[in-house]
Amino acid sequence: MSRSLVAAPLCALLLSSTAHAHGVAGAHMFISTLLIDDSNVADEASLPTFMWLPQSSGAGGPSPIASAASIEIDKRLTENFGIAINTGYQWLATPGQKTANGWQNLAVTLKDKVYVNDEHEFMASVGVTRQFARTGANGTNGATLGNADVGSTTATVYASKGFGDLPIGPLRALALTGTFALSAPDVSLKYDINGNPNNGGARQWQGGLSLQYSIRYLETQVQDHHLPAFVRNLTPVVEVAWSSPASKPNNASTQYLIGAGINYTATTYAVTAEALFPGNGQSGSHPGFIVQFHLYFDDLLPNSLGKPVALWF
Amino acid sequence: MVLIRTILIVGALLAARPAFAHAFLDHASPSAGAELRAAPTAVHITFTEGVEPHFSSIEVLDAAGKRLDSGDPHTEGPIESLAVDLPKLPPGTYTVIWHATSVDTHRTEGKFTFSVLP
Repeated sequence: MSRSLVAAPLCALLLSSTAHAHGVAGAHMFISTLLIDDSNVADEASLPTFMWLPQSSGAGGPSPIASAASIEIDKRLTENFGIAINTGYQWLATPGQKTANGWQNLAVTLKDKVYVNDEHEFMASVGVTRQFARTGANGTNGATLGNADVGSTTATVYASKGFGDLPIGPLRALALTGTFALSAPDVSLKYDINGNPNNGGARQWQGGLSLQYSIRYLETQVQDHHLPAFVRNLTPVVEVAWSSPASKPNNASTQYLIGAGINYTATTYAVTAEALFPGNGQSGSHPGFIVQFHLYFDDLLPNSLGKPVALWF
Repeated sequence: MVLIRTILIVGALLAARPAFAHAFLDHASPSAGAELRAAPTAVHITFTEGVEPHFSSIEVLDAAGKRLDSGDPHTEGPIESLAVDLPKLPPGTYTVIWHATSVDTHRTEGKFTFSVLP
C-alpha cells in the first residue's frame, strides 16, 4: 500500500509531461525538455525516454527503484494544432520482493500553438491531455506501479521565452520555458464511514520550468568563439517539475523533481541526458537519471510524416 | 528482434538523411561579435542546410538603422552559402539581419553585430 502511494504521484507527474517538442521563435530554438513539455506543436517522436529513480520507502525499508521506458509520437494536424500519444513500460523493483512491471496508461494530448512573437522570441500554447484508465497495467499490479484506476483530464498552458531582448550579450542565449496545469480525475476521491477510499483521485496542480542555455545561439547571435561543431550543438538545461493537490480529501502530497543535464541537438535528432534530484522525500530517496533520444520528423521526412495532415491531400 | 529491426530502421533513416531541414546559421564572415581592422566587402553566411536565395535575405544596417547592403543576396557555390555585397564601410557597429528559407521551405531567422574599428 505504501509503495503504491509513494510511486503513484511521481509517475503521474512524469507521465503528465507529454509532447516533449522543440520549437523556434525568432532566432531562438527551444530544446526538447524531459520533465516538462514545451509550447511547440511539431512532428516528432521520443523513441524512447528512459528514467531511473529510487523511490522513498515510506516505512524506512529499502528503497524501491522505479524505472520506465516511455515513447511519444507528436503529429501536427494543421500548422499549429497537433496531437501527441504517450505510453511506456515501467518497473518497480523492491529488494526482496518480486518486481512489479507493466504498461503505463495511454495519454493523448491535443495542443494548439496560439501565439508566436518572433521578434521577442516568445511562444504560447494551450492543450488538453486525456489519460485513459485501465489501458495499462491495472488491478493490484497497476496500483503498485501508480497507474490511476480512473481516467483524468488535464488542461495546460505552455509558454517559452528566449532572452534575446537582454542588453547583456551572453545572457541572450538563455531561455525559460514553463507549463501550468490543472488535472481533474473522472471520479473524486471519497472515504466511506470506515475510512476506506474509493478508486477516485484528487485534482492536482501541475507545472514546471526549464532554464536553457543555447551555445548555438551564443555562437551565432552574440559572439562567435569558433567552438567545435559538436560543442555548438549543446544546450545545458535545468528543469523542475512540480505537482500539488488541488482539492480535499487527497492521497497525494506536493512533489518536486529537479533535472540537470545537457542536450545535443543535430539536424534530425536530439539526445538529452539529465541527472534527477528529488526535491523532497515524497519525490524520491536518491538521485536518478533520465535520457531521451528524440527524432524530428519535420526535418527527417519533410514531404510526408513531417508535414501537417491537412497538407497531405 | 523487434528492437533490432527498429534500431536498423531508425539508423537507416538517419543515415539516409536528405538535405531538407531547418537552415540554421553554421558560420558567418564577419562572424558574430567580430571586431575588424579592415572593412569587409561582403557578408557571407553558411547555413546548416541548403537555402532558396529568392526567399532568403541578408540585410546589413548601420547604427542608425540605415540599410547598407546591395539588396541582392546570392549563393556562392554550395547552396548552403548566401552572400550580400557591401559598400565601403566606415568605422562603426553594424547589424546583420538574416532570414533563410531552406529548400524544403522551413523558415529561420537571426541577427548579429560586428564592428569595424577606426
